[in-house]
Amino acid sequence: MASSEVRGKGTMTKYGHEREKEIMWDLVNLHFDNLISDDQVEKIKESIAGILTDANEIRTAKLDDSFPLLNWYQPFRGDPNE
Amino acid sequence: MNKSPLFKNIRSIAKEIANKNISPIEITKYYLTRLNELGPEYNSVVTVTGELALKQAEAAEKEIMSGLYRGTLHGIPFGAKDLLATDGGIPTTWGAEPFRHQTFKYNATVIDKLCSSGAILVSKLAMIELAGGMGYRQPNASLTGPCRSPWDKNTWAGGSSSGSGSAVGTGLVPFAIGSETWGSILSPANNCGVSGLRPTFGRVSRYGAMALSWSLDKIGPLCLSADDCGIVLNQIAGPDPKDSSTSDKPYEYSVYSNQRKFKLAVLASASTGIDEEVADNFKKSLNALSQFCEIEEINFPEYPYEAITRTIMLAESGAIFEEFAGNGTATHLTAPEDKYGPYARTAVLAKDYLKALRLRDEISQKIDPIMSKYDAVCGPTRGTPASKLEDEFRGAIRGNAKDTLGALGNSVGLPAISVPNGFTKANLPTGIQFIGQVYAENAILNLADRFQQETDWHLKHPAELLEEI
Repeated sequence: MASSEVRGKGTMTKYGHEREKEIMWDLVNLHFDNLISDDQVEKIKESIAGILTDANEIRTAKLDDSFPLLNWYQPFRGDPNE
Repeated sequence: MNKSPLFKNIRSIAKEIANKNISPIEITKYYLTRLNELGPEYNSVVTVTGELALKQAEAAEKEIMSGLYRGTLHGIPFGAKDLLATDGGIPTTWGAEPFRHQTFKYNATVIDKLCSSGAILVSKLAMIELAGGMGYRQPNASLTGPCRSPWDKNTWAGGSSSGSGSAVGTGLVPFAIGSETWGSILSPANNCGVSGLRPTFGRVSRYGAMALSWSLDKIGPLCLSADDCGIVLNQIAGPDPKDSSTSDKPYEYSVYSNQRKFKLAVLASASTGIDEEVADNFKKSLNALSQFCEIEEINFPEYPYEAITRTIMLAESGAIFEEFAGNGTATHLTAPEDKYGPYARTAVLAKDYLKALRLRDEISQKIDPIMSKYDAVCGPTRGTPASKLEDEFRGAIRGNAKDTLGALGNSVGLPAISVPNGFTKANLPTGIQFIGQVYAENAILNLADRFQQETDWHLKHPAELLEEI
């Protein structure tokens, strides 16, 4: 349940990180349940932990505001004439 | 044949061919014999393309005898990593058991470009299954088994362009094509004692190559020298309407004057956490380089380079292999960890992937003015020499050292070349890498070439491989 208190970036607690790992495991398991064998479960959880460690490094990295946003979408039109 | 082409550089073989001292048919038969005899010993070959090769060799011979000489690669055999599509019923296995019988009705652009120059495709070469993108942690991760280093059959050739490195280092082909998403050309170059070039992202078309990560994959040569890498790049570079990521910036390989001084930077943390012998060889290389380079120590801005590169690779490969992961095909891969590798990457959130892309864009713009001050930034190619075949490692990038140069270079698409720079006491090769500014391949090629003029590490070959078959 989301708190009514407004919280800033980087406030995820140790408990929050553990919960995120569990939620991600549930997500992976939801997608691939029938393909994952018992002996693979802990290894997949380790991989998820690694992914989230990387994610946390990326989340805490500060973007330089002086650089433009990534902005490269161009709408497609087959006929170049007006 | 008047002269053996074994371990000769491309220019020497080309000269013999152009002077009609070596016939393309003879030279092709020579390498086909070596591929058939030695390929299985090193697990470096998937398919020997004998029939096609002899047909191409006959055509080359006819042209050359009639006075039509196409250039330096005319009549020269080569091998291609088995993720490059080839038509004519030749399998393209992606190194993976589930794709053992996969065929395409077209050639990868890089294959077409080489064949149109008169080069002769003699073999599809071994690779780590699915270019290592499933998270392998051991050399035995290919349908052809663990690929062996020319320097010790009990050690690994590196990956994922394992066969390309091993085949060049064992003299089964004069040059080979590999690909790199993160380390896949430089690692085999290091472990096999050969020269490997990772071109700038977008320099070489990837049409017809298995995609692992759209914004990271690059294709480049593995050769016996830096000069050979330049010759091959000259042929395979250039825009391709079939690959919209290719750059229209022109490329022509040019050789600098020997009087030229180079400006070289060394990453301050280059030797942190690496093997002592590797650090020692790197230090000796810096001494050799100081004869013709002005050398400065630098630091790059602080960013989580490895996390960024890994997140991009996992997110993109997760999308590319979505169907593969969902239909259970992964269970037929060789390495146990690859069988479940595709699943966890579902946990990469879109916002983290997009922030990684934004950080990469920022890094690319911040790094360029730094790179523009130097011909290259250098460091050891790998923190360790080739590992034992039975050894497991934490990831494809092994050892305790951070791979800042690899992560940064691959994420923003900087070109890099690895050349041999010495041996360990166990007689395993080590390498030095030179990373350049984007589209500045000539600077790093010439710097590496000059290093090879001052040293002879690239001219050393395992004694047992020097015997003719």
